[in-house]
Amino acid sequence: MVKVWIPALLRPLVNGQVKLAVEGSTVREALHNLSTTYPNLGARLWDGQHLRPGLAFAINGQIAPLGLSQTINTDDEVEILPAIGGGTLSPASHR
Amino acid sequence: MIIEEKPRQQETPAKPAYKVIGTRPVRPDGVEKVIGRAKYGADIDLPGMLYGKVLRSPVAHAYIRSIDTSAAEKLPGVKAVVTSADLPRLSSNEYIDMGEGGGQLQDLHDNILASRKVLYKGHAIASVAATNPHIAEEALSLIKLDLEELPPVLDPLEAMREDAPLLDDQRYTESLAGRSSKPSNIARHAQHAIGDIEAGFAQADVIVEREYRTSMVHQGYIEPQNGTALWDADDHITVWTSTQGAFSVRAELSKLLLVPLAQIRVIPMEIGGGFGGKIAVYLEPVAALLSRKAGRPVKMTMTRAEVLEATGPTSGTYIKLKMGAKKDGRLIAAQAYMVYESGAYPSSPLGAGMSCMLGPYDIPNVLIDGYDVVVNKPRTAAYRAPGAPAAAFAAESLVDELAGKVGLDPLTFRRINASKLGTRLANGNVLPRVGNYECITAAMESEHWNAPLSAPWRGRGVASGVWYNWGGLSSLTASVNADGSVTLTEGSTDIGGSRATAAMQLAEALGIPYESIHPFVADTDNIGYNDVTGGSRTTFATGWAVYEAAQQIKRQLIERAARLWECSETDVDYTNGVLTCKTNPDLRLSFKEMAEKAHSTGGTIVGCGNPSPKQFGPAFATHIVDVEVDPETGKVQILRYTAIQDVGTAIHPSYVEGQIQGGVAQGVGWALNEVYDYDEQGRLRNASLLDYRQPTTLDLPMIDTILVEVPNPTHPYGVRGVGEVPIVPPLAAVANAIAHATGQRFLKLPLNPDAVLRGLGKIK
Repeated sequence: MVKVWIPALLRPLVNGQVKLAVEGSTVREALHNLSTTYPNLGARLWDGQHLRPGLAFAINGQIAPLGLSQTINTDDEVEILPAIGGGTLSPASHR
Repeated sequence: MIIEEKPRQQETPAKPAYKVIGTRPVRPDGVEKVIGRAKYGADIDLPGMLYGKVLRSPVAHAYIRSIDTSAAEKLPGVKAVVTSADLPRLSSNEYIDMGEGGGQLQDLHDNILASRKVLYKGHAIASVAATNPHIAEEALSLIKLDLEELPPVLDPLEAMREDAPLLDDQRYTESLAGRSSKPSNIARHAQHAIGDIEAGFAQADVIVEREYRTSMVHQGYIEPQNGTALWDADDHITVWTSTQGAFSVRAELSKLLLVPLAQIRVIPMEIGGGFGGKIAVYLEPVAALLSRKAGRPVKMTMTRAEVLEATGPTSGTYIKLKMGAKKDGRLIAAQAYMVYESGAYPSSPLGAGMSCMLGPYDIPNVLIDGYDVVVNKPRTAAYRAPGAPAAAFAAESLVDELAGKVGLDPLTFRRINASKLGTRLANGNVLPRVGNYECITAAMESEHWNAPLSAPWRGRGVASGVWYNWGGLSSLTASVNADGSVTLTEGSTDIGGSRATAAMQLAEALGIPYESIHPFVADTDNIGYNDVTGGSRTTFATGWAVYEAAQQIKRQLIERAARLWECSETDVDYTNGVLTCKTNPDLRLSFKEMAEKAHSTGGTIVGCGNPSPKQFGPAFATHIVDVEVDPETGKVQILRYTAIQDVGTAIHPSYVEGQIQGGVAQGVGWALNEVYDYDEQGRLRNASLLDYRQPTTLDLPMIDTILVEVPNPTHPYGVRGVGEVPIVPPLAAVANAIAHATGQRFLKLPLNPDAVLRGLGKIK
């Protein structure tokens, strides 16, 4: 199971939890599985098949170079982050 | 008893024995610029070229009832007139990522030429192309505008009120949690949280809360915006412009004009400063529309007043900040309420401000709420470390107060709380190896910090700051010429010496002289995609691309040598620009000798690099400043300034020092004088450099620098971006020095003579 950190503004959609354990071998798979368990969260993450703009990901504190396609391993921590162009994080990192 | 813990992080490795990196060669573009031969956008002169001018809104907020251009069109010499009706109607409203900042497509569209409403004084409404600029200006005066004036909203806190006039009745507050039910001037709400804020403050022994304000300010680049466009009959567009990102201009034009990318060629000219302000397009799409109508090239340049009134300054801010510390000096909680004004369309650097504000500190309990608010001022744009300086003004001022309340000197307090490898920030990031601790230590050990300062009305201030930097995409090619020189074709526009730093890294990687490398910036038809020069990414990411290209060249050199010497490639060594055969010491070829044989041993040798590095290294800085305050006039004189910065590896130390000095100069201007001075109707009262008071050489001492080198472990040469963090600490450092000199805390910038005298109670 990987652990997914939930941004503060989305925590009300997952009963206030900060971190959630979920199965998944890529960021996309983990988020889809999370969205199945928490459909309201899923509605905020996805616009159809596309990730909503303004989100980026870090794996164990480092930006995921391949975004949604990034492979993850058991015990990895996935962070959903607000995207910031030209600074900390690129909005393009969810490609 | 306070016990400082040295952070448990890996030791700084010994600096490799570089041959080129760390030297200070002459910049490749230097001579052309010094003798005035370098070509800038305003130098473009094409056969049949027309001159374009823009009609701008005389008021800050109004409905456009009608625009009558008929008289202007009839003026002899006028070849084209355009309004928003000439822009294609867009079916999408996607987010356009410009690299450093971005925006919704419809907003960018409306900012180019206003359609339904004008949202700030200076908002472009119509444009004319004529055979000379004077006719174009006369034609503007013949355009009849019918505007229904509306009350402007200029203060972000007032704009947030429910009863405030709305700039856009279709604008709602967006956040990760969803969209507001009612329209609002609050375009975005963001939140960063870590730990338990209430429990944190409950543990604090000392709590301080303050409200801080900063003004909208401009980047102050010397070269005004310009753009020349030629729209061919076959719907190919060529644009010459001053930009930080030719590919960003191409993408913006493609989306706004609905023309495929491959039909747009953007030629970046030399650039007279940008600092984040030359990424969004203003004139280029208008020039293209005029060119399409007129069938001739159209050149447009802005006046200084247009630059100040109608391009993108950075946000004014309101920040309420509360921080708590334990008696031993450890920060335990911080809560912030941050409001950034966006100007007419959502664009403020709120996210970066939220992320950077408390970045220098390891605080277990943090809650930050941020609001991006539209007001009747020009749409904001990136400005050097966008969002961070105003945030640091608040945090570093408050940290200074807290240090005093727990009885610690400000540097010791900062070092006790310094963020470091493994620190989890409230935005979710976990810091990699950084040099924050080392910068504070270098400041504590500096001659400046330990020098006496005892005269009355003199004070010393310090402040820290962070900019996380960026990676982005770079693409380049390096072609080995038959004489041993190398042509380095890159697509990163050069605003801070990146041609030199790219060439130096290539020379280092190939083991050849810097002078053998000939770097130049290509246009969008001649190189692969490159992100903008911004986010302090270019020397880092283009350096990575150079390194990749060098490895490809080395592999080809080894292949050719093996072929010549009829040995295995594994028997060929390439070190310091020399090929040798491990099995036969007599066989030896220099890079130049091998280059001469390239064509006869398999053809041209070319390397390319197209990396997408994501593991960029954050940059930290700590600044020290001495000031003297004149209690009679309120004037603040900067007596001495020392900027200490973790620069990773200083590729060209002179450029690094220059970046730091430039950032400090801008930060001092922001702290002491610069302000967008609007009247109640939203008219900018100081739209000239005579009245918009930037610092001059008379206002600044020599700015000393201390380069701390903690290499970025994810870059082959340890590069960290250096260009942006130098502007982060000065606002607070100067304010803290003034507080030290006067015993009075100042919470609002700028600290011009008027503000200082008011703070001292000398005037009301």
